[in-house]
Amino acid sequence: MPYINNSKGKKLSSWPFRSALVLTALILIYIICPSGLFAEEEEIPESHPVELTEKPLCTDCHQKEEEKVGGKPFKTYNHSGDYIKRHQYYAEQGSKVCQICHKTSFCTNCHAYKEELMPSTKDSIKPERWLPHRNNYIFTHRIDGAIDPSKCFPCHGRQNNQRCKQCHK
Amino acid sequence: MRLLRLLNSCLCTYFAVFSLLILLLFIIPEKSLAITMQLTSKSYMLLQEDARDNDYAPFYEYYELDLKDIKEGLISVHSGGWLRYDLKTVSDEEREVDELTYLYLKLSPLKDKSLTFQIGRHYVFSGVATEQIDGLSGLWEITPLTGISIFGGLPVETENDGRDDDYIVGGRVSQKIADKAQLGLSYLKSYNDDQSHREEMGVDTWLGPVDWMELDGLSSYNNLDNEWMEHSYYVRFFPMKNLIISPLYSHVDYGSAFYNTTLSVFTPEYLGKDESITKYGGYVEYNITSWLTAIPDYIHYGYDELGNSNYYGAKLAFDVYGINSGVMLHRMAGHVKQLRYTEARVFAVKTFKKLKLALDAINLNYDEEYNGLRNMYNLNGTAEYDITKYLNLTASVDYAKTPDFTHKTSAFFKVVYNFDKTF
Repeated sequence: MPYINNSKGKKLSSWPFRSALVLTALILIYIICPSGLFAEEEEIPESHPVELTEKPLCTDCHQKEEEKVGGKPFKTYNHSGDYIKRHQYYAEQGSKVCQICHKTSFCTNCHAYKEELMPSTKDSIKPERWLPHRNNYIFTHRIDGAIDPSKCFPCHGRQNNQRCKQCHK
Repeated sequence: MRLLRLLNSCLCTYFAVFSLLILLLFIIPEKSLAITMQLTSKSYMLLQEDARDNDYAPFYEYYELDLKDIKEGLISVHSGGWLRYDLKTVSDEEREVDELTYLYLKLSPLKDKSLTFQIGRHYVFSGVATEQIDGLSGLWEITPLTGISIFGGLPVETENDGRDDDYIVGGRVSQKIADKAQLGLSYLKSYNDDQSHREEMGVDTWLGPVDWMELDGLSSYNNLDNEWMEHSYYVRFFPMKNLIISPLYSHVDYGSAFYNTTLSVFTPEYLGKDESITKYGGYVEYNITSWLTAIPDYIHYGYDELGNSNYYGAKLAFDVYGINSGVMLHRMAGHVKQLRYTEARVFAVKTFKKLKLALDAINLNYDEEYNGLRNMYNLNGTAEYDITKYLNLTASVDYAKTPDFTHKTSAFFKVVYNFDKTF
């Protein structure tokens, strides 16, 4: 099946030029920040020393402001009310901190390319996660899709959409 | 039989990965061959019917396998996948489905693990790239503050046009500035059937200049249509220990962000030409007491063609008598029919030693009828029992009333088995 293009048409850009721009920017950043050469080594552990079974508030134990992990304070990683809305930013900046507690399967529980079972079905024992895809989602997806389709696109825009195509040809 | 077929297909594709692993096992001295194996099996049985009263009984088997601590933790292997066999479908064509979700070898050649490679099917999270690839990715933390990552391979995608001449490359450079800021520049380029398919650049930011404030954000640019795809920024203020104020802003240009979609529902013909969404608002999280948290929120959605909408309300989360509970009430006030509704939800979770019970109810009340129905709801009751530390059972019943299903009942059973062994 051919890909569907949008109305703006394709323009091949000069990607070697843009890559050179990225490299130049990196060099500039590095010149501005010579502290990188002399920074202290920070060891990110392979796994959390204590097994965590509930959503953690890191600052319950890591209370010192100067304590950091991945260069950020522990309160950044507190799995508080809005954490699920923010977790993409931390993954984008490197998932090494996430991997202290989470195995790959934790990510693929929701982010898989052919997944059929909804996370809220698999983990219905955890309603405190406020997961969106409930049993009535075949109806409510049209509402969420109208509100903000950019939330649907990462998982269903180019993949995991065989079921979508049953109606949306 | 299905398992054998799945393994067979996987072995063909990933023969190289395991060849490399076996080679490494020969190279490694015998005394370093301590391996920790973690195996998890999750079996699911779902009983449900569709809008035409056809019954389905899909059985799912998921596995997760991790081999760790090889050569003092410098090598590990990770794999996960699932298969489904429907015991009661009306369509034989779709009775069986399987997926190899991930299978990769992780190598850390340096003892400080500042350099890591992942080979095989795996996820890449790197600035603009949140991709599942069959290929190689590497991360080198040149200094504790400076890193560079690269990746390349075949994108894993719905097989709607084959995977010949498809490939994806990209990378990210990052710089931390004295524990006060992190900046990343990322790039992604992919080809489909040897044609340029995606080319994106992004700037990701984390700023924590003072203890009481931090900012996360990502801006991404589509090099193929020379437009910004998305700006997404999230600020958090910590004025008090028990109070977090989180304003947010995002803007998405549908035409650029949904470029080269494989689904008609994301095209301008469906969403509107030159449509975009601008979203702003925020959350407040206030821990009133040790057992009560209030999270009021307000989000404004601005569209070029769909008009404006406001979504506002609050969540309350509380823990009383060992019952973890939540109540939520929200109103979506928009200009069009599908954006005018009130949403309510309540849940409660109680744990009794080995038994855990959860109840969850969601109600949506629309201002105008859909198929003659304004009020729709979903009820769920779930029980989980830990037989041993390694084995637990879950049973769940779900009942929904929607315009698509006058009444929909489904039952769900789950068995989870964990196995840890050190050799």
